[in-house]
Amino acid sequence: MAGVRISNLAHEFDGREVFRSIDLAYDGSCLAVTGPNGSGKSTLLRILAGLLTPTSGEARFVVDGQDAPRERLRGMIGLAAPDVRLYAELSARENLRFLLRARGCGEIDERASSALERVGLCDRGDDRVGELSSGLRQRAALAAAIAHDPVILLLDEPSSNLDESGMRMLHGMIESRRASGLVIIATNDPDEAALASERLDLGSAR
Amino acid sequence: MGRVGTRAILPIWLQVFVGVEMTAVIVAAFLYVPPADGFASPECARIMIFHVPCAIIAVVAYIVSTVYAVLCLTRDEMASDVKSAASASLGFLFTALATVTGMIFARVEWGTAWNWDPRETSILMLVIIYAAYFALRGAIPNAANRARISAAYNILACLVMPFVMFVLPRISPGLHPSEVSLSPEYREALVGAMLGYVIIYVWMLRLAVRVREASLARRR
Amino acid sequence: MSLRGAVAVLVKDARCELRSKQAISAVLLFAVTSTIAVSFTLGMIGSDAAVASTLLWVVIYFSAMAGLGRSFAHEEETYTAGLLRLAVPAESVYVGKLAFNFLTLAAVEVVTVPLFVLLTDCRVARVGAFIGMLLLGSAALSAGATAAAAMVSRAASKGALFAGVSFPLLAPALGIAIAGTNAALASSPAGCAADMRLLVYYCGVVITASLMLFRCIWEE
Repeated sequence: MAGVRISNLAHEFDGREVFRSIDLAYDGSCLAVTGPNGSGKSTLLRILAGLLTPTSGEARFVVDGQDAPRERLRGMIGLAAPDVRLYAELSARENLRFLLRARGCGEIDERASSALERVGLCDRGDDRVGELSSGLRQRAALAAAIAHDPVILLLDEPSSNLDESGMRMLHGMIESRRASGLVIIATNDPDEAALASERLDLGSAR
Repeated sequence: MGRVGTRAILPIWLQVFVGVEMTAVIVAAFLYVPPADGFASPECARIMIFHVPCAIIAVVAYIVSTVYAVLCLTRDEMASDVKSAASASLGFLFTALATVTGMIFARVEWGTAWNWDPRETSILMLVIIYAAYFALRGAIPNAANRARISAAYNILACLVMPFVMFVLPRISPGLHPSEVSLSPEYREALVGAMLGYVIIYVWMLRLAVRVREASLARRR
Repeated sequence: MSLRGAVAVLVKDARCELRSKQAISAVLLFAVTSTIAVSFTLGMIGSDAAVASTLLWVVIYFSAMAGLGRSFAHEEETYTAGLLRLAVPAESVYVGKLAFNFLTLAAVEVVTVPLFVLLTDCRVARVGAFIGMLLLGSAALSAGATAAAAMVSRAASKGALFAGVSFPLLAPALGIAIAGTNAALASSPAGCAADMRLLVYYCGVVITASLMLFRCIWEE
């Protein structure tokens, strides 16, 4: 199981404050990060994923009761976000195989096929990502986020561009991931936020 | 980043001293120092009194900038970045002055303003490094990224500079004399100019840092 | 640093490039037209090793400027850089990109160099040393260009900035490569060996420094 610890976290872009004084200790299975546009939901997820260094404060994960060191986080975190895209020249399967190989995972082909099946992309998995519709690209991004079986899954607006079956797939994925790890969803969608056991509202953290 | 300082940039007595001292150097360069023997234009050789310290300060400013770049990456990011950029801007100024005075002297002494002499080439390389450094800084919008990336570029360029020393002698033989015997008057004027330039550099550096810190504080 | 990650990056870049052919076609076209322009205007260079080595490396250098800057800029522009930062350690990204840039440059030279030799009737006295200089010089250009490309990828205006930022880093390697190629073409064994050693040292310094600095450049 995993948890997240955030203490006095603040971030600004070139003097413009995004959020400040965020404190949180959460050991549950699913956390929703909500707030109006521009409140810093995506920024918070990027900080948690290690893609961004916060201006001040600290954010860390606790896995099985111990602080997860930064070097190991690469294999433990999966992120699906609008500004983290797959390579358009490669197929979804090739993207997954690249990510799995780079992370040093074993059984690459099996994991890639399993992830594609999970998101409903089996029959389009060998088409170039650039040729897929926006909804199928979103499914491919979700496959890339779960292919290496991460303990911590970070989802930024995951339901964007998904159709009804895609939404059912997403909800099923969240339920299965939260059973064995931690899912953090940044969303404005009330249905997605309702999946979470706790909510962090960034609208009040400014 | 720390507070903007409010103390005097340089002690008043030192400001007065350097004003008087540099005035004396300028007067000495034209009235005290005799025409230099062994030069094509003995009178024009007086420009050495201003050219040599400029060139030395240009290199010193670059080394100071690189040291602050290392500190920027290993310790406090923004405060050291301010000092690194300030020293680099002064280094650019002194490099330009050294180049111009050197070209005037070269035109008179060796017949052409530019000869690809190793020292001329190395000062040109310094100009290009400074220009690239400021172009890179100007093109990165995010302040934290700008600090880290320009510091990395500064350090990389400094590490590469020694290789220029191996390339330069192949391009053309040196025209700058390797050994120079100076008259006592020239030596005194040169030492006086060097002292004055060092104090002026430190003064300008502290002023530039204060201005940049105030500008950043105002933006916050 | 994970070698597996570096190989994964290299294979991924090669696969993407073979499908899009954006960089390689632009670089190859530039290199071929430059070579033809050089030989068209200068005619047969024959045994003039100094002219041949200079022109050949100028063509290679500007071909590198035309193509190697895209290795990181493309990642930022297509929003795939985040994926790379998530999955691959920073040092592995540098090594993978360095290997890709070197192979791209080598592929361009496989076409350009024989064409140059043919069109200018360039006499190559020592083929082994000539090929060795080409490989080492390309490795040196790739090492510096990869670090510069990473820095420029964070800038707002990337195109023209890359050439300007790269030049101070690559100028020493370019000078040494020209001198060494001149020695190889003119059959001067002592000179060529010394230049090869210098290029090996240059690659060692630049690659080591880039590996140490890359995390600061790459991560936000």
